[in-house]
Amino acid sequence: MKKIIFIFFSVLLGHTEAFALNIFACEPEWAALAKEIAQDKADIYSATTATQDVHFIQARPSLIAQIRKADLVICSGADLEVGWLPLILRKAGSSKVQEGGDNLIYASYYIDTIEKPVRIDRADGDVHPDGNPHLHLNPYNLLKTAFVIAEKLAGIDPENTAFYHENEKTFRAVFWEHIKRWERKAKALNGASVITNHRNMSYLFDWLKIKTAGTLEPKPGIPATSKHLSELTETVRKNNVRFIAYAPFESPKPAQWLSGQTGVKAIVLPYTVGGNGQTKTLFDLFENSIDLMLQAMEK
Amino acid sequence: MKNQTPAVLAAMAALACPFQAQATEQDLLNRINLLENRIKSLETKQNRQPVSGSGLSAFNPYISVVLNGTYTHYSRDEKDIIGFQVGEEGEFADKGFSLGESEIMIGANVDDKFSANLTAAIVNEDGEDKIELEEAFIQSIGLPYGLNLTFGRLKPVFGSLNEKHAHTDDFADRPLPYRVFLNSAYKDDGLQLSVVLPTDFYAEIGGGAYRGGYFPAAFEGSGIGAANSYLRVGGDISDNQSWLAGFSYLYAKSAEDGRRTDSLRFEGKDHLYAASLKYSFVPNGNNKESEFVLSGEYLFRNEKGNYIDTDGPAGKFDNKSSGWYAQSTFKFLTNWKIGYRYAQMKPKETPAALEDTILNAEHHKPEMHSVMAEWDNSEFSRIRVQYNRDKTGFKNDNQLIVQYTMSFGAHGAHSY
Repeated sequence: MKKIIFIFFSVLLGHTEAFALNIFACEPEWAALAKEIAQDKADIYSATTATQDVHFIQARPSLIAQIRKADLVICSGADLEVGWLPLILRKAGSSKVQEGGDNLIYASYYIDTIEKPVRIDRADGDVHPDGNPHLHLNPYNLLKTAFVIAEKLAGIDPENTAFYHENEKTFRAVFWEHIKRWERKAKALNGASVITNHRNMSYLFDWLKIKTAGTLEPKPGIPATSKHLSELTETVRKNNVRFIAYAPFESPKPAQWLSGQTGVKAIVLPYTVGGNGQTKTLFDLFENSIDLMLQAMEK
Repeated sequence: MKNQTPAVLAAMAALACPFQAQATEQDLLNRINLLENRIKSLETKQNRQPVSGSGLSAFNPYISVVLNGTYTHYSRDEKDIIGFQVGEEGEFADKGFSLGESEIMIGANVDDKFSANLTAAIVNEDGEDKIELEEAFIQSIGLPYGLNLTFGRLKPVFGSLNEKHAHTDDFADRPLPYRVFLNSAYKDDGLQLSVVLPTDFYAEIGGGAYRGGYFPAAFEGSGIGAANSYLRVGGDISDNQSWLAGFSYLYAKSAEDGRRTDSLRFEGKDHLYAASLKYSFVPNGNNKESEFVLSGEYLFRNEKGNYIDTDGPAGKFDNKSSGWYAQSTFKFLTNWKIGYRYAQMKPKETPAALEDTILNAEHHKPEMHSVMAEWDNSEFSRIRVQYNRDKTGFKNDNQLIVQYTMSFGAHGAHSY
């Protein structure tokens, strides 16, 4: 009987979870990056999947339970998760992770964001005052975040400091080699003009010097309208647009309509880890995105 | 928070430079070490440098405003629900054009241990605009064991809707059991303590004690006039299905002058119980595109005391009544949602002394069918049309409600 009571209270107070760290990643890309560094030393939970638009996540009960257990939370920041993360943090009432606390990483703090709006007005749609938050699609940003994650993990679990930094260094060295190879491979994409649904691929395009000629959304977060789409047919012709890209969680209809009107290919890029069957790791994410874009360039 | 120093940018640029592609492994490691030092120095600098918009304005709280208004059409003149003593907020809205509650919400972290929220509603009562303090509470931050303490004026957790703001509801009016038992929403002054248990699924327990100043309580003495306790559990069934179940209890005392409405006064005790269930199905987990939600609640009230007809005799009351509703909403396009709700109340027999009052339902069960359709241009604006087949009076009636809800300013998320 005493044993049962002990087990009950250990479960209640979370003592059974002292063996592994719990990492709560807001998006699959940060879960994948955390895995490279923490490996088997942590249980990693991704709050979202590649089929979800991370702007619009409900503060579901399961998310509250998961963040309640977390020792470290890794998110993109720049207001990407502003619609749900503050709420689940407040509801969970965790003593380990809080807004503004040490164990909450916003990658945007360490990265120079792009496309900062010149004016902040909701009439311009869903604007992000801190710049574009979809920052994981520039692989250099992952190098920077890898280091930050290792530092934070070392702070929480000092005994394994060397382990985390070893993994992070190895990851960066290997990833660096791939970045250089991807840059050579993607040369043909330099200077190409494209259209996206939402500006959520901007970091990828910025890295590979691809130009965004327009977006299917008339304004960020506002769904495509027929008037705007017919204007885009003109944009496609004028700018010699090479392909139309959208993410797995976005409606394919506007892209397919525009593709049908103009003959330019519409492609779904994986956007994050798990975005398609071939994208299982961060390495696959860039490899596959570049392959798909190169294929789309062929006439 | 981003204080990008030129030095860091230079380091990043060095890393990105294509002509260094043929770097040797040693070069690479050197550069990674350089990057590490830069990030370290950036981190320490961040701690020292003020954020943008410094000065007093940097500490401005967030402000959010919700405006809503309705056009309501119905034929009958009484606003009551037969068989029950209903508070002012639970009655039917005014006919014709009317502004609902315009809400102003202000909030901020007070310091590292407390955050504060204030919600004021500007309402029109008898032709006069008044400010009502809906909520004014302080919440603890980072208490041990995940404890959450809230105190001040708050909406205690009861059922699935009580603590939620009406503008987040799926229908233009609260379901019947809430209107009858809780005056649409019960608010009070007191404190509530809760904890989310560190389990794999979501489990939260909590409870609180209150002054008892608002419907269904009416208590002015010293001591505790109302109390609540609750348990909520929930989780995901798969990537696209979630559920939440709750059990809650509310105790409310009406003493001295009693709980008054137009022609009735109640003195005694209310014991209220609620069982709630919600299930949602979201294809691919992406609720921006579509969502199907099914929810229902059963509310039970045990009332012990006396009802006093202000124009007549008093009647002893030991009455068990109940009510329930079930609803379903379906978001079938990014901007469109439709819903159906059925609600029913079960009043009990009235003592002879109170036969001439509204409490006498003459074996009639108030019920209501509602259908609604809404268009959301963005998460901040909504226009809704609702039709109610209203059987809450002795005569059946048709109700039409057209409602707009607009929120602006900093606007946080809504709970599940």
